Amino acid sequence: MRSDRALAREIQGEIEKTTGEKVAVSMSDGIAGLRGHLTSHQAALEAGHLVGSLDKVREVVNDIVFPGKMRFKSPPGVSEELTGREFDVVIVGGGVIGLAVARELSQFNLSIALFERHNDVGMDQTTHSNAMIHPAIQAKHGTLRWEMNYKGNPMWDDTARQLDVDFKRVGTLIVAENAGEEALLPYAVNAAIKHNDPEPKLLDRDDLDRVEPGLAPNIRKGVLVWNTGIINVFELLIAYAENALSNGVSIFLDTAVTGVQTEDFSIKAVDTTRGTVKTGLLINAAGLYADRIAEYAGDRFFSIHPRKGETIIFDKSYQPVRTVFAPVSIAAESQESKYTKGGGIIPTTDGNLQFGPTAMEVCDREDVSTTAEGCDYLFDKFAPVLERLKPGYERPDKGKIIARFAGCRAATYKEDFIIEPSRKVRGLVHVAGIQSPGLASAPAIVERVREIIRGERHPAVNDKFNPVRKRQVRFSELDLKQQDELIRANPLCGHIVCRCENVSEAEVVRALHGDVPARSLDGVKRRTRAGQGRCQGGFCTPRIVEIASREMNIGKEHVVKSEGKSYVLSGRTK
Amino acid sequence: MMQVDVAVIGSGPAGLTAAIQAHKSGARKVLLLEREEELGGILKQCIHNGFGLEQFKQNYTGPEYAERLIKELEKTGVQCFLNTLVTDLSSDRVITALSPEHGALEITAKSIVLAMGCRERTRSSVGIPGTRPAGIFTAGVVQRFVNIDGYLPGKKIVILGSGDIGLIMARRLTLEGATVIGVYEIMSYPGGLKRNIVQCLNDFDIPLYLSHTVTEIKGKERLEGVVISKVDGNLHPVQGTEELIECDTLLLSVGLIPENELSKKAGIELSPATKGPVTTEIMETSVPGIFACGNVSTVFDLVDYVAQTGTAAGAFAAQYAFGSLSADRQSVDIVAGENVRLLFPQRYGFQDDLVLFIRAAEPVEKPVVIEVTPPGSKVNRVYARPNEMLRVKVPKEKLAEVRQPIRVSIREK
Ligand SMILES: Cc1cc2nc3c(=O)[nH]c(=O)nc-3n(C[C@H](O)[C@H](O)[C@H](O)COP(=O)(O)OP(=O)(O)OC[C@H]3O[C@@H](n4cnc5c(N)ncnc54)[C@H](O)[C@@H]3O)c2cc1C
Repeated sequence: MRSDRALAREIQGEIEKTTGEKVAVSMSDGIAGLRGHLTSHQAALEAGHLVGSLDKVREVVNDIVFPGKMRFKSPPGVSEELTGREFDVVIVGGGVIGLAVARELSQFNLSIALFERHNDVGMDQTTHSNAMIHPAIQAKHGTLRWEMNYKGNPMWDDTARQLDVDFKRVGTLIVAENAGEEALLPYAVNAAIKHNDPEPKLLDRDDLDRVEPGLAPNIRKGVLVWNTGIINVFELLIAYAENALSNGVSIFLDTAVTGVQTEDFSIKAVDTTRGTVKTGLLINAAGLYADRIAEYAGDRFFSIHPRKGETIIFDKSYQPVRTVFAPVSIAAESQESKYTKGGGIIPTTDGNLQFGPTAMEVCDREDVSTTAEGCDYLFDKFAPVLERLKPGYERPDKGKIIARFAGCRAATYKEDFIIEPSRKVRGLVHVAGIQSPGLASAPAIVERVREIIRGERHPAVNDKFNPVRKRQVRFSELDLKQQDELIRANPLCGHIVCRCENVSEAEVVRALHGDVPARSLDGVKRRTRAGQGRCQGGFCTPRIVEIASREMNIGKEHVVKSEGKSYVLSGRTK
Repeated sequence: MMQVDVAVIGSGPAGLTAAIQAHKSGARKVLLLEREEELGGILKQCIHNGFGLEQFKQNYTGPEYAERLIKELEKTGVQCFLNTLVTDLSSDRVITALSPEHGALEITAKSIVLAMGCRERTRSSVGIPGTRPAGIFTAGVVQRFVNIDGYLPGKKIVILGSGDIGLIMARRLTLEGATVIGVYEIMSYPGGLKRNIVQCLNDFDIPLYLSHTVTEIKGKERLEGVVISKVDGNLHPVQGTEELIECDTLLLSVGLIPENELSKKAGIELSPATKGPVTTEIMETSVPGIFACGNVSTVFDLVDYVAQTGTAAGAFAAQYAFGSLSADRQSVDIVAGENVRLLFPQRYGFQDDLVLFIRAAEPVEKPVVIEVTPPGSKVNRVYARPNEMLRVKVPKEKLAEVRQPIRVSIREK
């Protein structure tokens, strides 16, 4: 088309103007393709974002080569055990989205398989998130991200109740430190009214004291955006998975999708590292690799660029705030901007405060390393703020940081969610670009996916569907009498293997034999919290290695920390 | 609810000596609570020797030393609950504990001795950035894997920190056929005892690099290497000195801190310097009737010192239990003066001789004088090194008239 070619030339000119370099641009159906060489990752990103920001461009496929660019390799096959099996629906990706979609679709009479490449659920974005259910005040109004966030947020009360997951609406508290900042507060209220909250509250000091006791005397006014929530994200993943399983879904962990077979632009089969399964409907919830899945299916129309976020977590003895605490000075800065380092002061349902996440574009989607700069940045930015505004709490030293972690967000160059049936391939639905606030939006996202499937396939209802899931008893939450009864019934309950978090041997055993069983020390940690406390596994590691070796019936030298070659011990002594 | 005279929490050298002494001092119902299957605490995994040189004039291994104390304990009527983890402690001396055998139980005690020992500092407490692969351990965990379970953690090993357990594990792992590439210490002086540097590193040609630290962890699944950097006088890494060292195991021997969870739960005042309870010379904490001894108070260099505090704690806990310590006792603070990083005890209560344990802030390789003022006692030493605790005794008579804080200083002569 002539107009496509003209637009491509126009874009090419723009890129040359801003980066001073030449890349080849193609346009087709609103999809911009970028090719050529640039001297840096940064330049390639800038080009992508520049094109992504144009209204006429629907999505960007960025194939610009730069020094250090990562090459993608599909993982090798391990078996053919699944070959010949057939499912009505295949879901790629066992993050919060894939699992929630699986559960949602299990209310229909459909045979469903979910494939996850890792040996546990949610190991890419979801477990590295900050577990916050955002109010819809940050995402840009009018985007799909905003819409899903807006609709998703209020759905969490019911979802968390059905799934029996810790969820608390702690609110975001925006406080003003001086008259100048107080003058800005009405704007925060306005933004909240417009885009999120029916009744945001402008609080005076008395109300503030009820919401967040112990504020510095100079703080007189604030705004509470009450619908911000925090959730126990790993429990949520397990809950979605367990509920999906109990409603008939098959979940295959340690199984990567390596190809998609189509015929006449229709999905026919999916290749995995454990064989090829037949299906007519493929849901792409592959997070950081959603563009690869699209490519396998012959529908490559967007690129994912990983944006890393680092978080630091404090010991439970440092709990200075109840709310997501956002003084005006910080709230103003974290308005949506692509390149701010970002981050916030966010409590967790476990009682460990977190600072994070940062935002750093990286080349490698697998880059989950933490940096000294990231940690220093977060600590130096937020610790003094808390010291100033909550003077009753001593400023923590860095020794109070009990963990640091990082995860990559699966961003597209439009920086928006893609939730739609493929325009090219029948039976393919993309749920891609689900970066922040993808967790907060999850209930709305899956509803949208459900409606797409319902519209296309008209599936019958599964009368046996039960949306309710009950969580296992947490020993540490029981009172003494209940604990005593449990120990009398099962002495392993009285054998505490993690003294920081009071986790019993019985709980570790249960984690290793659950519906979604732990396969590693980290898996046990995520399920039970054993090793997550202040001694960071110093006490419990040898004990859990022993229990895992016994329960999994493998030698201690085969027990792994995470997956692959992450063995804990190299062998026996002489 | 169970009721006892003296409850001792923890059965390492401190707890064992405290329980034995409480019994000897006349307490009838003494209960020893231990979370492990056996008595002895960390001694069981310390299969090297060097224990009891002062106390028993013998060069025992850890288990031998523990055995000797356990034999002595068995002659007393002290009751032991093994596999029993104390989960809570209140200031009115109610203990909550869990055990497979005894269930969830509450125990009230007339007096309590805290002897839970210490825990190791971890990677996050030293804040090393990078990836999170397998193969990073604290030295004590490796000691347990090697000496109790009979497993090796890896083959090419880097040790960060020159604490004693790290030094001892350098030798042990070398004897087991692993390669210890080096010990890297951020300070300009070693953390462990001189005798361990000589016997565990020098004798095995394992290099010790002072003023060096690990600045990055590499490897996705299993550790593949660490980046080592030199540090400047402020302990900041010096840019451009980075060196990548391939290894599959990183051992952290970066310090110990008192196990202070229960102390906090009971509302006991903690010393910012030692991170353990503030105690008097009779090992009593700020909560009357709760005593603390051994590494739960401050991390001692030698088991003999630990046993000494255990003996005092046991004796006075017994006295407290039968009410022979008056309720309104006076005390004065003991404060760190010149070149003193920490000291123990931090308060003097006029009940006994004052035995001070002092750690210097900076090394002084010349004769020094340790001053305790008032009463103005002076003790000479040939040097003061942060890795070797100084011990000074001031007799009770000399302190009887003291009314203001006691200051302790280390000065060059
Ligand atoms: C640092 C950080 C902080 C965040 N904080 C928040 C927050 O506080 N609140 C919020 O709402 N959102 C937050 N987010 C965003 C949120 O985490 C994501 O939007 C959400 O988790 C996306 O879920 P997902 O299932 O789409 O992706 P993922 O969790 O990444 O799941 C995708 C899964 O697909 C699997 N997969 C990929 N390729 C294949 C293949 N070929 N075969 C099989 N499996 C495959 C992956 O292994 C992965 O498990 C944060 C994100 C980051 C990185």
